[in-house]
Amino acid sequence: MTTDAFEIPNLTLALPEIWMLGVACLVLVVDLFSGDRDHTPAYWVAQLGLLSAALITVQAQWGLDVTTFDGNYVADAMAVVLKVTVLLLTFLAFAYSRDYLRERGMLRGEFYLLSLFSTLGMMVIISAHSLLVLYLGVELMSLSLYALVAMRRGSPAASEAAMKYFVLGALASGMLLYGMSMLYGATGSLDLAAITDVAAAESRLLLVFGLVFTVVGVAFKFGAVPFHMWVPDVYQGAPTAVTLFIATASKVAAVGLFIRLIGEGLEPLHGDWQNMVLLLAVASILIGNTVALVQTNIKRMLAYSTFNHIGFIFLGFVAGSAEGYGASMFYAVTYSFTVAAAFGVIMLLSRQGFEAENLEDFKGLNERSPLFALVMLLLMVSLTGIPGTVGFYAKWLVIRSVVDAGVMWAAVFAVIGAVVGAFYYLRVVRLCYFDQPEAEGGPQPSGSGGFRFVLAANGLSVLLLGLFPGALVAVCMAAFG
Amino acid sequence: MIELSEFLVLGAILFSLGMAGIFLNRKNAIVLLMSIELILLAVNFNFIAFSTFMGDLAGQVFVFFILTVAAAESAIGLAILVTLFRSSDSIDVADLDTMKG
Amino acid sequence: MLLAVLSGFILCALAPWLTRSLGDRAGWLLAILPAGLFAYFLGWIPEVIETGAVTLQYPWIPGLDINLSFLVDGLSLLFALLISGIGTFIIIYAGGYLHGDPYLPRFYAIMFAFTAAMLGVVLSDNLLTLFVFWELTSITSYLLIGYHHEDKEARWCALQGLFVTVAGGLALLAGLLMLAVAAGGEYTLSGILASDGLQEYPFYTAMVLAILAGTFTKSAQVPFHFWLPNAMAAPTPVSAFLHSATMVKAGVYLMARLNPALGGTELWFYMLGIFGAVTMFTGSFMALRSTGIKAMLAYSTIMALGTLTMLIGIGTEAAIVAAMAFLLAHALYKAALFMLAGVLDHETGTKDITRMGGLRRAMPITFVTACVAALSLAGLPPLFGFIAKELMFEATLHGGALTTFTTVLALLSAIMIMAVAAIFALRPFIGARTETPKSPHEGPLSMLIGPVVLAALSLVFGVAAFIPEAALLQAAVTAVHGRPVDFHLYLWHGVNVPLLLSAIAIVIGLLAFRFWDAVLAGFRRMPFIDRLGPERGYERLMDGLVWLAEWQTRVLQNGYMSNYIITLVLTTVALTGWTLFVHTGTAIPLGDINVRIYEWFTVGLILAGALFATITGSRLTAVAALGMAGFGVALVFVEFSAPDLGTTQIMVETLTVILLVLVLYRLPAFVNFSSPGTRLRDALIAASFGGLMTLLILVVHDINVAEPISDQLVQWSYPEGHGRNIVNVILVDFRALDTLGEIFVVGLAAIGVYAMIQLRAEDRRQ
Repeated sequence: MTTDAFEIPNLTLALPEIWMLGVACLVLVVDLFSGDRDHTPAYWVAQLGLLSAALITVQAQWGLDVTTFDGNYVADAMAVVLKVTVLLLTFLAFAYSRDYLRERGMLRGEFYLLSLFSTLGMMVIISAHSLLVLYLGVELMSLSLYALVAMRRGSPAASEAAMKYFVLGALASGMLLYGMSMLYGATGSLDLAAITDVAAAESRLLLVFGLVFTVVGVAFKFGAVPFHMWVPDVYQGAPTAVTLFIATASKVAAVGLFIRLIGEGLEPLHGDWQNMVLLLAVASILIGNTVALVQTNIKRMLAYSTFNHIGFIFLGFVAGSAEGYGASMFYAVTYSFTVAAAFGVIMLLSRQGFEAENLEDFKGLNERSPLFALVMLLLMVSLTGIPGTVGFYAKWLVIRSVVDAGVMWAAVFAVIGAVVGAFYYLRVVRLCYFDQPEAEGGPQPSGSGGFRFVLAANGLSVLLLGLFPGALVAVCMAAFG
Repeated sequence: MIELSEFLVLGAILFSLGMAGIFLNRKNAIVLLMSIELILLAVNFNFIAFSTFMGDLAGQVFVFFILTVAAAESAIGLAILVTLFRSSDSIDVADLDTMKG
Repeated sequence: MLLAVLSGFILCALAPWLTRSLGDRAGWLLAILPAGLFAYFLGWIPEVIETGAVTLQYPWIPGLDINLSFLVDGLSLLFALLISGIGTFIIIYAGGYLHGDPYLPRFYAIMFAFTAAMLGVVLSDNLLTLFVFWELTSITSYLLIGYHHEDKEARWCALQGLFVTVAGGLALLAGLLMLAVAAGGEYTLSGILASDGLQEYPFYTAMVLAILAGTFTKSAQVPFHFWLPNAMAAPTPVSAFLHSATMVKAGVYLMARLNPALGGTELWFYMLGIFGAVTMFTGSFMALRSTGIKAMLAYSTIMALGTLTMLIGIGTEAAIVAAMAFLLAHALYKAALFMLAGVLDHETGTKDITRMGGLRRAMPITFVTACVAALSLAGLPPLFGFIAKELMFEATLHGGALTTFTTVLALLSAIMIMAVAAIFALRPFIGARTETPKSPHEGPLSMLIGPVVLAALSLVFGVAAFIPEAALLQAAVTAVHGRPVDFHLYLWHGVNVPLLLSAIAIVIGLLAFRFWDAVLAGFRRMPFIDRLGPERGYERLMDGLVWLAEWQTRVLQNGYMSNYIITLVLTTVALTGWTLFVHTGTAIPLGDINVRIYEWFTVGLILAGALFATITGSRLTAVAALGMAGFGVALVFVEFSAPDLGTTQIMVETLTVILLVLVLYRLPAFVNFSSPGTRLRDALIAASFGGLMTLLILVVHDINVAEPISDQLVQWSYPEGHGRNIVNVILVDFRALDTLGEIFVVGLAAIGVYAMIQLRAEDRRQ
């Protein structure tokens, strides 16, 4: 930190975050002054803001690899990919949840505001280049999420979920911070680049302690087993709209957090964290798969199956190579879009006073809505990782990176995990296509034309990406040179 | 007289106390919030100690941010506590077990 | 070529629309595509015979090493011709069999997708595209098997088939991955076949086992054979297609394909030889036990698959020739037989062969065709099946270490299959007419053309064996064996051992047919066979998985937040401990430990005090115990030659104890919130976490960035503070302000104490 001269940082590099902050404030003001009960102006401002922010991100940061704000902020290709993903996921979350929230009387300006701030926090994480900025991003994201989970105020389940999420989340933040303080003590700097240099130069036990605590903190934000117990409770307790947001965008941000802090920052300690990450990955795949088998609530089922996918993302990290990170990123990006669509279908089938949360509600969906039954088929097939859909390539990339890293048994284990995954994902397909609905005919798809259009497009993109994944793979791989 | 390691030991003790407070307590959710504050305090201690002994100001700046964020965190925590109390008439930690499986 | 493989997918999209607009004639029209493909592949024959193998490449996803590349040689061409040729008849046949079925458009759509996927499997050169198509066949066949989705049984069977094959498929993926690594990052089949040294790959055993797991599940080898008969729930055209040329043959294809690269080792030989032979025997045994017309054929398919696997495993030139001939013979007669079974079922309304009889008048064409096809199944001259069976005996008789084993099993199977063939060809047609649910008459042209043509081919190829030999089998055998083999197929070999074995098989088989009812009754008395099958294992496995999942959910996700936190803490401790262990071994930086005996005593005193304070039930005892710990600390000070500190500690401790006693005196007694078990658990967790933090503290002791201030204080003490007792100088001189503050605090506390004592005094007065 220099004190002799104050240089004005290159603000245009950080334009995406500045723009998002502006949008969030604008939404606040617009919502305050508009009398619209559906918060239509806030909705459109937020959506346009998100799309424009995505454009600005590409425009301002693609192809660069520079830091600004005295080394605290970095703009590179990885940041662009992850940020655009987060922004689009937020866009989808807003688009899917509007009708859902309105029917439940939860459509308030705060939803947009908190989500936007959370998104901003994720963007900050993704572009952070010092411990301080990383921490601020994590907290901005987490605090907004705690509040979002508690948004359904009258519901005991929501309050309980929020309380659990908050206490455990704060504890994990504390661990992360404690680890950061030790990293700082061992290296004498908050700058990630400087930390890397010091860590490469000498090996200190204090650094290893710091590493463990940060890994625990990051694993918690992911929801990796065994730091996973909040996930099912939060998924179930939170309104589906919020669950969607947590299940997708925050995972993508967590990928950024991992790569920035541990992957790049503590790269010299790869030998130390490789086994930890491998352990978490294997535990996640194991627990996630077996528990998801017996769920009857589809939100909980998706929550447990999340662990399976987190395990795969972690497996990509294991190699610690550019290919591995690229594979993890590709996995996280494609997975989150797939799951976003799955939650979209759940919300589509929900209506006032009825949550399409049980697997039974999907029986005979094909009779009621062939299009969305097809979408659900594609999503589940992709989540299983069956060839022809994008999920296969994601799994393939990860497994290949693991094999390249020489951890053959983990690759075989991952494959077995994917097999068990087939069991519960294809069960949903079976329900949609082959089973007869319950007596009253089952839930009908509801929702506006725009919602349906975006959802269908999202679902079919899974197929499209499955047939032509080349471009996205190239982008993800290019992000790590 | 006072060495860096002593500050760090104090930090470690505070951190342990915070952890113990969280997992030993099963009656009162407010104690949880207090324990979390204790953990953050331990972190602050570490940062300030390192910062002073290394002559690097960045650590102390970090502490300022932690203090601010901790305030926000408590505010949200208390708000959640209030909604919890309203909906279930209890802030007993042991009662937080309706969701399982 | 690209268009040829993908045209099925294109037609898949158009098929429903075409079917709806064309109505009844759709089957005939749609069959033009597979027929065209058949002609196209026929056109390849000259080139393949001339050049051996042709590869074609179309880039698809270069970033992933995935190209749409095709490998056309004798083996793939043989399969492609079977798929497209039999596919043509199946499409026509389905038009008749599923006449008027509301789901017919969907059926055609899936059927075309399946055909295309199957062609993709046998023609792909790239391992990944091969795998992609492989899994596509699993999925499309799932949809085909579960076609009658109103039927719960059909759905269950379809799911079982899917699960077994998808699971095997993923094992295959792992195997293919290793294969690519072993071949030095080579992802094309042609490249892998060209590379050598695969047998020396360190993971060779794992690789072969993974690949075989994939092919065995797909090709229904024991112990994964149970899904295939269950897949009988499919409509007959599907069964005919799946069993004759496709799906189950994909596994055989892959084993044959990889034979040059992986074969020739003991592992390969024994795995394939033994499992193949056992499958062959199991299949024919189960076929003889069944009464369902389709089940019978399904089990005989398992027999054929086992035979093929066994022959590839034996791997001699004769065995490979036999395998290819058997493959062709089986595809021809099995497709015909299945379609005939469908005709019988369709016209009589029952699938139980014991309820049919005397149909030869009503269905003469069916009868004759069935006889021809069944003769080929039984392996009687002058049909192509006879040639294949003779070659098989020839191969098993020179089967190396497995000669006796395979020959005996092959003979037994041949006997039973002979009986099965006779039952199928004669039982429904001769004898007295029996009542059937529908009054039978000859099937429509669309349903008969396929069987008739295929059965005729069996006959033609048998009489003129040089046709298939020259056109296809030479090239196919070259591809499987890895180098050209000189052979010729004849119907008449002269009198030799294989012919003798055939004769035995025929005689005993006919006897078994004659007394079939008795045999069947005998089997009925052995119900334990049902219970022994691996299907039970599959069910057990599924149940066990569900049970495990439930148990684990109960334990891990019990909803209690404190448990969540405990897990979090324990994992952190474990991770740290483990990492430290890996990092430094057991050498924890404990520094110099030089403890004298009375110091141990002091430590013991402090520990005892602390422990007692935590477990006692009374507040006053706890205070006293804490006081004990405090005095222990004072002793430590004394031992480290700081008597003044020790004095201070004793005074402070005394004061604290008095204060605590005064305060606690007015509080109610302890209430225990938790059980002893919980407390013990908590104590253990606390101890582990405490241990972790102690380690951490030990670690931080080696960090001293700046000079400690204490040295300076020692230096300054006399010159600046004019005192020789450093502690005193610090207290009253260097840190005077702090001391003042402390005095102030202690004063405040004293006032508090005084107030409390006053309160008690007032209490007593009242």
